Amino acid sequence: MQQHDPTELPQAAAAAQSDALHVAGARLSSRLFLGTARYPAPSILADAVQAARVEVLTVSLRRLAPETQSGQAWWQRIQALGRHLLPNTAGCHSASEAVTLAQMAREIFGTHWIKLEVIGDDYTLQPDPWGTLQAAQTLVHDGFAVFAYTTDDLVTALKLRDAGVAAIMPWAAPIGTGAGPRNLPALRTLRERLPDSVLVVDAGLGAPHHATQVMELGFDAVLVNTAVAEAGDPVAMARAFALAVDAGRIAHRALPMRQREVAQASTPMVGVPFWHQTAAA
Amino acid sequence: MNTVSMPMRLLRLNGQPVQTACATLAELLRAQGYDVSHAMACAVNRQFVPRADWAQRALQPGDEIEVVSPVVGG
Repeated sequence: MQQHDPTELPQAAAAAQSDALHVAGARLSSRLFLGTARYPAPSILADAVQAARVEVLTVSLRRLAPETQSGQAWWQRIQALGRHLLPNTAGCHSASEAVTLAQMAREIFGTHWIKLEVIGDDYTLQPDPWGTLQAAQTLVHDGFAVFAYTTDDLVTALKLRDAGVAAIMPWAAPIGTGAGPRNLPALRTLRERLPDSVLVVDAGLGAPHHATQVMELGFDAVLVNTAVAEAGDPVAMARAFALAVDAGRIAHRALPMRQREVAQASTPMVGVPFWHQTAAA
Repeated sequence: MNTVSMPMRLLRLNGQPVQTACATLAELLRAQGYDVSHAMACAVNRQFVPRADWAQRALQPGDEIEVVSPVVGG
């Protein structure tokens, strides 16, 4: 795979580097978090990380059989990338399961960061707000920096904020759908009502313009996995997402215009050729 | 040589039944063929057991042990 020189990035994207994201004690230049699952090969994941200059990677934990050694090679490769690791609690269906898995993750990955997922419905993989909040409260008390996966529900987000999580991660759409933001007004409300919280859109983004949309709203970062990993060229798609995230961030800071309901000519009307006043009836 | 037979315990290891005479978690992991130098973490009865406690963590009949390691994730 081709390695991309960071200096190849457009000026606008490079300018975004001065707009760092501070979260859980880290200073991040990249606002694109990347999942590590579903890539055709580990080398392609590594190339995608390099191409998009990703700084945060999500990982997970699963049962280990004694005869299984292959996972160790993968783990060494991930470590060699030298990125921030954000372990998740994917697959947990209760607060207690999530808390235990978070503690296991802290020991293995050597980080107090945890992407908290407590699933409430197996069909939609919709998070359980009660279990998530309960686990978040326990984990924050135990010294974790909690990145809480949730829906776009405002009250849940407010309670997670009050619990002291490091970041709130509302979905754009159900995990793996690639549907893009299904409820932009709800996401806009979250941003407006939680102006001081770190908000990271997680799940459901399928294309770079989805990332731009939510970044334009003022979200602090996005997390994508399937949209990159299952692209025909994951390395190129990772780079496209990185540029889209930067574009949205820059646009947000540039204060987009307000939408209007009716047309308004942008070209001056004074001095329009061929114009003449029609006679009054 | 100690000829006293150790009591056998029926446990669950990653969801599978295991009959063992191992008295501690560390002994069980070695007996089951785990290379404990690898990245792995354990829980017993859904309670996290830090690596430093594996040698002291006594096993009881019916214990449910989980052993996990890093994998890809979104």
